[in-house]
Amino acid sequence: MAAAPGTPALAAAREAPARRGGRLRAAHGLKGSELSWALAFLLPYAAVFFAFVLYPVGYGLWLGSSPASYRALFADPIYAETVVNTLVYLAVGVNLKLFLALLLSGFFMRPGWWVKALLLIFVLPWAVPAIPTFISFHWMLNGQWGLINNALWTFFRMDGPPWLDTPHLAMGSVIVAYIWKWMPFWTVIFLAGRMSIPRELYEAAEVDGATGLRSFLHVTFPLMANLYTVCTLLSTIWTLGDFNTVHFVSGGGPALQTHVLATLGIRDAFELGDPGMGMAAVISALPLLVPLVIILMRRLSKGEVQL
Amino acid sequence: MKSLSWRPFVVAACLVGTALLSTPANAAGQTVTVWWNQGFYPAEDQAMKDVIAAWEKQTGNKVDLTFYNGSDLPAKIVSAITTGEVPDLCYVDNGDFLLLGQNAWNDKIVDVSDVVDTQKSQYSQTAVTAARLYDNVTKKRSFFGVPLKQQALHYFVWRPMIEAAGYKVEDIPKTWEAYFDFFEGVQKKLRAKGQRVYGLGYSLATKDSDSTYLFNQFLVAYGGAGLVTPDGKLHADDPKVREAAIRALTKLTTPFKEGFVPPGAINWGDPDNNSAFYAKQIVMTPNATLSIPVAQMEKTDQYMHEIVTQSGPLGPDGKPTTSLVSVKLAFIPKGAKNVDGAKDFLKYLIQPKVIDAYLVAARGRWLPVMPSLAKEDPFWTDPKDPHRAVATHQELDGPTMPWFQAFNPAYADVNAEQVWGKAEANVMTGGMTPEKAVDQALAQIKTDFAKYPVPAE
Repeated sequence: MAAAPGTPALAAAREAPARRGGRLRAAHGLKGSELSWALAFLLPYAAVFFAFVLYPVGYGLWLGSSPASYRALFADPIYAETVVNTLVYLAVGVNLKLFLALLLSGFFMRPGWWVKALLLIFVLPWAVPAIPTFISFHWMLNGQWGLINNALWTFFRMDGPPWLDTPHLAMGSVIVAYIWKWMPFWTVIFLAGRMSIPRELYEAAEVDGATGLRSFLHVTFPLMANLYTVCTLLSTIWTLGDFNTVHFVSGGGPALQTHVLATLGIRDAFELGDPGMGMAAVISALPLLVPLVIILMRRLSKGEVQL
Repeated sequence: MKSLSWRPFVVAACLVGTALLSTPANAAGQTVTVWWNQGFYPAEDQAMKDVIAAWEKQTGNKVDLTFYNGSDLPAKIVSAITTGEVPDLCYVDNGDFLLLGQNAWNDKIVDVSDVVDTQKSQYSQTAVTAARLYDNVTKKRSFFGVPLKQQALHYFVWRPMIEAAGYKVEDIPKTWEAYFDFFEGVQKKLRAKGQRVYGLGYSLATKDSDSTYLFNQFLVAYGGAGLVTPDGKLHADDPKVREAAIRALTKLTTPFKEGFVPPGAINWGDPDNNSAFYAKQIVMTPNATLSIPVAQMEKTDQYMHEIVTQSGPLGPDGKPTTSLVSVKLAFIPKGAKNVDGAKDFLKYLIQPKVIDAYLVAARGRWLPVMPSLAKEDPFWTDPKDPHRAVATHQELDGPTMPWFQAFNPAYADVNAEQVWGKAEANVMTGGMTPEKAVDQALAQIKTDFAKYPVPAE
């Protein structure tokens, strides 16, 4: 119901901007020691922000500002392949991971102590440090002396697939390792989202005959859609900068065919000894990254991330 | 109006100043900061620590020594040179392959002629040539690295595996084609007995330096030594060079496609052929330095009897193969705060007795760059040692040549870009013919050389 003219609620709403304006004016009106103390408290934060955010970002942009770096980057035949790999990694890795996490979060909503115990085990991959995890994947998938292919030889006298030695299998292995590592985190996020959906909605839907898949399609999914979208955006942004998974699982191999932009940047900067070209590789992801950040910020600022 | 108080600013300045200046300070001129490649085993690191301790005791100076993993150190050095926050002295095993030539070209390295001159007469010609790099700013060739040690490609064989296949080590042929074919035969026999092994442990990857070393050594063996001449000129259009490259590429990739090389070799880093060899999954592997046997020195049976070191077969032309020798160089980046201290330490380190003691304490994995050491110290030619004498004879008595990047830094770019590794992959997994892969590689090499127009001396 709308507030009637002259009611206390409307009066408070009218006064709010005025109060905010008053505070702003007060802040601008600081004088003498008050202003000095305000600046003194602000200065360390400003210095840290400059030293650890503005300066590194500015230095990076400056390193990658030469057109020659971009000419060299675009002339490198690996670059085009890397862009494709990055898009595949994002499209398959992020979406498959989040979709599976959404489904699994439904499973973990089930009652029973064993489900809770399973959830505890399920989140372990996310809890353990990332680098040893990916190195373990690398060793397990080694074609000659890895755990999987050794077992195949021991039990069946057959050579297993060259997991990391052909581009498609290697990229697939990277994506599987990535999903295994990060799916538990997003499952817990979606689980929290599901738990905040009121039970009454499901009961009402059940009265109307919506159970199982129909309940998921008409109740759960619409209510989770905003959360799912924001999680997809956030995960895409994080994954775009993911260096560890590719570096430690496939190493960008075989024959430099599974690099993504994050690992190519490091290769160009440090293996080729060309920091400008390395920064150019990273900066070339900005046309994708910046719109994602803008969309995410708009969604968050509109307060749409709610059930 | 209330006057502005300065006290808060003083407090803030102190806080910020404390944060910014809380890093430990070095005593200027007294401490030499050294970044050194971590050894393959603890004895290598201890050998360097001992040298440093002796120099510190003699001079009263201090060395701030940090060991870095060999895969990480080039990146660390590139960052340091880019930002200007450099150590006083650097040594990285792959420095000559990846970064020294380009940085000398760009005038980022200190001229160390005065250091090298103290022992110049002791050095082999290969070492002297490898250390003289071109500075494109000063337009002169000079010593930008101090030769410490060297490596060449040797061939390591498991004696028990040869014997399990019904052969003796003496049965291994001495001629080029027959030598490598022999190990394919060994694999067939061992596989027939149910063993999951491969005859040839070739590194065929696009990372680190082993695969680069192997391809270029084969290129030289097939007559491609003229790809880059000592005047720094590229001869990519020389039909002899192209033919040698095609034959080298064919010889290395055909066994891979036929299943005589582990499929994972397409992804091997430098330690991986060592690991595969220790796991007895490969019968023979080519490897630069004596790291494979030396790391097993405590296992007397393996070191003395089971691992066999060979200098390889005669070349395809029936003559002894010229060994590509990689000379390992220490260098001082420009911007170093204590150049004099670093030079003083290097002068101490390259004294024949000191460098010999260092290399001996490191168990002889690397060979000396001073031929006199091999003659005067029986350690290097001890006939009771089954590995060192072979390597010493190959590297210091046999025909050798420095790597191409010593003639022109463009070849370090070629190495870093893994141009030949990519050519191998194009043939092995991309379905390309060796001819096309070589032509593509040579085109890339021409592009790289166009960036480094070294004038003739």
